[in-house]
Amino acid sequence: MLSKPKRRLDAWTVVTAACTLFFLLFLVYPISRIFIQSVHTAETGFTLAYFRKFFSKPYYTNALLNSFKVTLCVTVLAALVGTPMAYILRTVQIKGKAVLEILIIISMLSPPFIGAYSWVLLLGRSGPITWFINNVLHITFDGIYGFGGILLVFTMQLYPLIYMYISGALKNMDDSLNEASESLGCVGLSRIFKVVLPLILPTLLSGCLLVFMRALADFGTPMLIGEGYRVMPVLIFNEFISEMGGNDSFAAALSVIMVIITTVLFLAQRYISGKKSFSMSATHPMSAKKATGVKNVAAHVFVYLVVGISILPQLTVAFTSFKNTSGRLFVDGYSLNSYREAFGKMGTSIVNTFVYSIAAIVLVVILGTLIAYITVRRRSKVTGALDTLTMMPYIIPGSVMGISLLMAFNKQPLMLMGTAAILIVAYVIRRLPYTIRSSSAILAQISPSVEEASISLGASHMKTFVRVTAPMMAPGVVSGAIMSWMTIISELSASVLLYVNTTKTLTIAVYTEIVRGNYGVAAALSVILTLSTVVVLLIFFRVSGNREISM
Amino acid sequence: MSVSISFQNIVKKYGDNTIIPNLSLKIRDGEFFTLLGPSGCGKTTLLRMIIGFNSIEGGQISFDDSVVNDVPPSKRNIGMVFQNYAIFPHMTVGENVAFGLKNRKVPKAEIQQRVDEILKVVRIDNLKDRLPQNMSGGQQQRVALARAIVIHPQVLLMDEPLSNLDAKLRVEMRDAIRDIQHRVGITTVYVTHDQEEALAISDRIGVMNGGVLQHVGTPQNIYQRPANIFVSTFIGHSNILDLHLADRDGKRGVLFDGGHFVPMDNLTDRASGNQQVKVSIRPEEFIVSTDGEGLEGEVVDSIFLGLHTHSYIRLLNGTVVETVSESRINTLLPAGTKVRLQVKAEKINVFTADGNTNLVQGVVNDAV
Ligand SMILES: Nc1ncnc2c1ncn2[C@@H]1O[C@H](COP(=O)(O)OP(=O)(O)OP(=O)(O)O)[C@@H](O)[C@H]1O
Ligand SMILES: [Mg+2]
Repeated sequence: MLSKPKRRLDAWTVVTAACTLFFLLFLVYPISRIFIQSVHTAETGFTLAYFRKFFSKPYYTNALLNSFKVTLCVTVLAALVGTPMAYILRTVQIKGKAVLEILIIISMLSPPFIGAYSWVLLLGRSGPITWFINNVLHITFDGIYGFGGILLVFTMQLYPLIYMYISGALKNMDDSLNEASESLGCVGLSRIFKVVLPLILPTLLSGCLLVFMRALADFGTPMLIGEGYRVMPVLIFNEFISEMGGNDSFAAALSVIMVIITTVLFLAQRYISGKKSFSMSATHPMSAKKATGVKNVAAHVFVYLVVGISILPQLTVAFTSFKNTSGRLFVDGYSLNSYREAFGKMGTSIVNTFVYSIAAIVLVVILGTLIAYITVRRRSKVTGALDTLTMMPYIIPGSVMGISLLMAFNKQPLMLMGTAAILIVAYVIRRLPYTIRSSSAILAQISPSVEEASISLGASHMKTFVRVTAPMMAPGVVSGAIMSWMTIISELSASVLLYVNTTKTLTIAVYTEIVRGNYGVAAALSVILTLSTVVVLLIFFRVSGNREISM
Repeated sequence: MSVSISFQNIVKKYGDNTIIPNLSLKIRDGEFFTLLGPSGCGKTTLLRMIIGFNSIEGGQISFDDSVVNDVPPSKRNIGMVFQNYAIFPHMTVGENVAFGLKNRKVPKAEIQQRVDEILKVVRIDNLKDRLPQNMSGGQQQRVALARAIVIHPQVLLMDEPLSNLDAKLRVEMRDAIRDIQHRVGITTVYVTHDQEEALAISDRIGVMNGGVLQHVGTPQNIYQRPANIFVSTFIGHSNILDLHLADRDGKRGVLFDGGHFVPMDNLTDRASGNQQVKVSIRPEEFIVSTDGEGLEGEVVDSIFLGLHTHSYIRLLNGTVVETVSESRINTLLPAGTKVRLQVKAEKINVFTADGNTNLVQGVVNDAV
């Protein structure tokens, strides 16, 4: 008598089906809509006209070139700033390190366009520094706009990503590697280049990729500080949003071009990193040592300078928020007018921000943990496909995500346009890849026999997950979730396309107020935004007793 | 309430790869049964089939008379002790042990009482409210054992439960497990590749190789009358010599090179004529002397190990055999010494030339 192994229909099969469905509906369907729209119109059927239009006019191709130019420069600069920052803070004792680290995180978490706006305040045509340069140094300087401005904002905004990645990698590097190389006569800079750099190279590459993706996709910064400097996200936004002459299909074609570029980059990075990755774990992590003399001074100056510049926008914004206002204009003196108006006008946007971001983060955590579980523990063709699918949002720029959701859900029965749901979906989809990756890594550390022990003791699969696996994953997942929460509340690229007046969030409110020239209110709102982030971060540090947060 | 476990023509495949081709076995009620074999022979695979974590590609497994092939693991009422202990790190020792009872909806008061009781049995009642972090290997092992036993399982499974412990603790825990198993009287299947552990702890041992049970029997029988040459070399150490059977003075026996004849009166009927055989002689089955009768040889090296001294001796045909004898005062045979080897005829084993069959009477192999 032969008993066939039966595939039981258990709770996990249902979970797999539900998650797959979620992604099919909110990712595959919208993205395929965009792909179809880019080569198909109702009147003419299949057409490559939009792509031809793009590649035939320098007006458009220049935007692509500009995007590349600025993004490449930003990536290199961010790596050049972020890597030494991480190395110095890991190996040299720096005074006030704890505060510096928080400042770095804050400067990373505030939406880039706020940085852009503050730099305009400082270094724009009527900024105090510009005035100083022109009238005191007598150098003709027309304010930091265009390429230079974008570069400055992005670099200061994105080097913290490299910093966090490298800092994490250095933490896993055993000091004995340093000692070994030292004992072999390799010290100082030559050690850094021969031992440290090669080991962190894969991490550096994935950090660079992330910076590249962010810089390429960001829409707010070039919009505010770019002036005439056209880049792709701005092009897409204008094509899609503008009432006259805008063209959805052309916007779709632009989106497809962006996605193809990011996909190629993503695959290239994967290929390179896959060939050069090392697994490291440190029993004796490197410790920060006291430096002396020139080295000590140089280290302090560098770190303080970088942190100082990157936190300057926040200070500017805070200062601006307390300036006295009369209507839209600043007048002499200081007052809380901006805050009064911010709370009065934007009360709902504050509530919206918290409600949506918390709803999104709860979904992200639940979905992320479940998907990590089925892809790690329940390997099959289906879960493998789901795994690949969940990585897709990583390479889809926010504005493309926004457009695709709008195109897909703008009519019955799938009418989500103008609802809070569409914003939450956008947040969830955009953030899930990160949570899934980190949850999978955490899960991989947990021996399957712990779950088997639970099952052998009579617990069902679901009960095992709830009582045993999930609690064991929780600390890691929560620290990732905090990070996700902070990125969600500063999301602009997708939400700026998806919001309506009633679903405005703080970040969108800041943006729209800046665009309207309501600088006081914008500043007050962004201070509120930053403070909320800081409070959450501090609570998290206190609760977890841990100062490391992961991407 | 423990049960017997029967395997009938069990087949296990991973894809096209057959790990267990066809295995039948009956493990008795209350027995301490050990699966022993080299790495990769399928011990863990078989164990996980009993609990249901591995699918069964053919045949059936029954507890007493009921087939369990399609019973999910959580319903099989089996206690399992894992190699890495698999203690739930976020629960205290008490909560770990109570976990299975809670799943069985045992009343609160009874849970408390049974947890306390079992923690006393495994002697960690003082750790009840501690988290498992920073507990020693031996303590974690006891938690794992208590957690598995407290549910009164029908069967207790242990997969190399002691392999992460140091040598001294291993012996201590081994005795503790044996002792607890006897007291609870539960059918136990134990996996190890440590033969000494297997010999010390088991009622019966199943020696596996390549997914096939080679010999199932008591520790003594497996050691003294191994069913085939694999078992004889895997358990303990054996010198294997290619020799011939012969008849001398109406007696059958083994003829060594150089004409030395060892008569044997316990050969089976299958040992006939002057067929070629493999003779397996354990080091302690040689008697070494410097004079008198026996196989001629010359000492290559001697190693003093305290209680025993091992000597390596080159026979006339060049083969080197290992012998062991109780150490004597001040006399370590130096290399080059000419010696004579006697063989304890009643102890040695004679196998067919292919090594598959023991030609000596007394093999009790429940595997066939
Ligand atoms: N999930 C699996 N998929 C494919 N092959 C497997 C799987 N698990 C085990 N095997 C193979 O089955 C064979 C038996 O493995 P098993 O783990 O049962 O060995 P073992 O006797 O327990 O060895 P050890 O003493 O090293 O633990 C091995 O060849 C192994 O490679
Ligand atoms: Mg094993």
